[in-house]
Amino acid sequence: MEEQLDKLEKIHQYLRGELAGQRLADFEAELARNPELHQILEEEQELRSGARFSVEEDIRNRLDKAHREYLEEKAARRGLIRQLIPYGIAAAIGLLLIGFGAGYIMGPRTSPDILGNNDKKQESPGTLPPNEISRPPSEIGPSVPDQQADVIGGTRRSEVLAEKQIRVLRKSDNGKTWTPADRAIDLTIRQHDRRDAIYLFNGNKLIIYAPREAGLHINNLDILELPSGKGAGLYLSFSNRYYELRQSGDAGDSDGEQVLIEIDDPEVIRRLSPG
Amino acid sequence: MSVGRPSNPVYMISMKQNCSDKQILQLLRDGDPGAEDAAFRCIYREVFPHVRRFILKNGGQEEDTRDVFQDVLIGFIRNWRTGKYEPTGPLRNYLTIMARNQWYKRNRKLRTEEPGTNIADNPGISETEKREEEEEALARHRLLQECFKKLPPRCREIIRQFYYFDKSLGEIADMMGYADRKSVGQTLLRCRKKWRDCIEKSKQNNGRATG
Repeated sequence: MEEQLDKLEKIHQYLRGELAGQRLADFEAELARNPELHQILEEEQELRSGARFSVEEDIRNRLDKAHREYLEEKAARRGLIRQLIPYGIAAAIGLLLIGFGAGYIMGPRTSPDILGNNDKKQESPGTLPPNEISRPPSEIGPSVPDQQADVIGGTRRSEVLAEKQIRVLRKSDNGKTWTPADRAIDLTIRQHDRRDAIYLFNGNKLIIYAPREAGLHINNLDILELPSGKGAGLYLSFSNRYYELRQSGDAGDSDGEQVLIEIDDPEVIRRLSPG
Repeated sequence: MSVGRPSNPVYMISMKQNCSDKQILQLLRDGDPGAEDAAFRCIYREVFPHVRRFILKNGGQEEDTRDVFQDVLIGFIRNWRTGKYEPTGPLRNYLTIMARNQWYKRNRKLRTEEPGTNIADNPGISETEKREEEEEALARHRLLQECFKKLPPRCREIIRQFYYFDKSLGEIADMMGYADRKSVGQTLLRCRKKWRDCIEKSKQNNGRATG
């Protein structure tokens, strides 16, 4: 037993490149004359690569999960910011009005005419404070927004499975059938090796990154439009399942990539269902 | 890893919480899946945005950001467990530098793999042969993985530590609460035999099915 364990540990030291000098020479000589040891070495190499593959794939799957959670948290944070924007604007307008009102009320009392120092005020019209003068114009002027990464236009190395232009379907007046609308979407399905489908949707371009086994057949796939309070909502319909499509490239949205999540709102599903 | 250890509240780390390097390294030390998942969430929150920004600015796509970051983390976990990583500076800097190197390496590899560029280097290997070889290797690995998954949890953990994290039998005995090197060695040999038997059996079955 002890001998067997020593042999095993020595083989692993050899495979990790930890044997050197006389120990390495002895081991290689033993390897050359002992076919049994050679066979165990080959088996150990195979098991090591099998263990590596198994462990790394397990870690990769769990990292995928962390990645998805990160994207969801980020999307949720962005959603919250968007919800707060109207309140922020309202608060800013309120502050402006208060400032304006205060200026109006305080104005006559601090007027140069009343205080009698009008001349002094008129001596330096349009001068900037000293710290503003020393700053270059680029710092004072409006800032240039960062260029958003073009995630749609670039070429990806993942294989294209299908490409097609698809007409968006709208419910007809009787609310029972779907009819093609004027709008069309350039749909591309690309293969990737992850479990969940991910999509990028910008303007009239939609790219779905789908696992090969998902078998998203482009011919059975429709893009449906429903009127909603915020404008038209777009949905992907595939095998009687529905997914909401959110446009990327909105203000504050630099991510673009989103996980394709099936919708579970029964009211929307009812409205999307045929008939 | 101590099997059956009760869940620790420190693992309940949300994306909203900041995590220190010390905390992350501690969570990744033992290989407990729950602790590892908590560390992954921390790392994604603290480091991924920097790596993502760098790759997107340097011609990468969203998919690349994920793949590169995962490769880096897998390498980092292994280095940390095998003692090859010594924390000398902020973890964020270390991982970002690793990701940069990985991205440049990947680009270089892709350039050399473009059709027509590697024929001179490998005149004897066609694209089809290369793909066939890759598929065969993948099938072999899948078979090993299937058998690995069938092993009892304790066997899987010993094999993980011995074959992947290069721990000695003495170290595994300490980590997993065995009396000594010999007793963990006995279990390892038994687990190894189970694994090999399963592999051989599957190979024979596959041979019969294809033959």
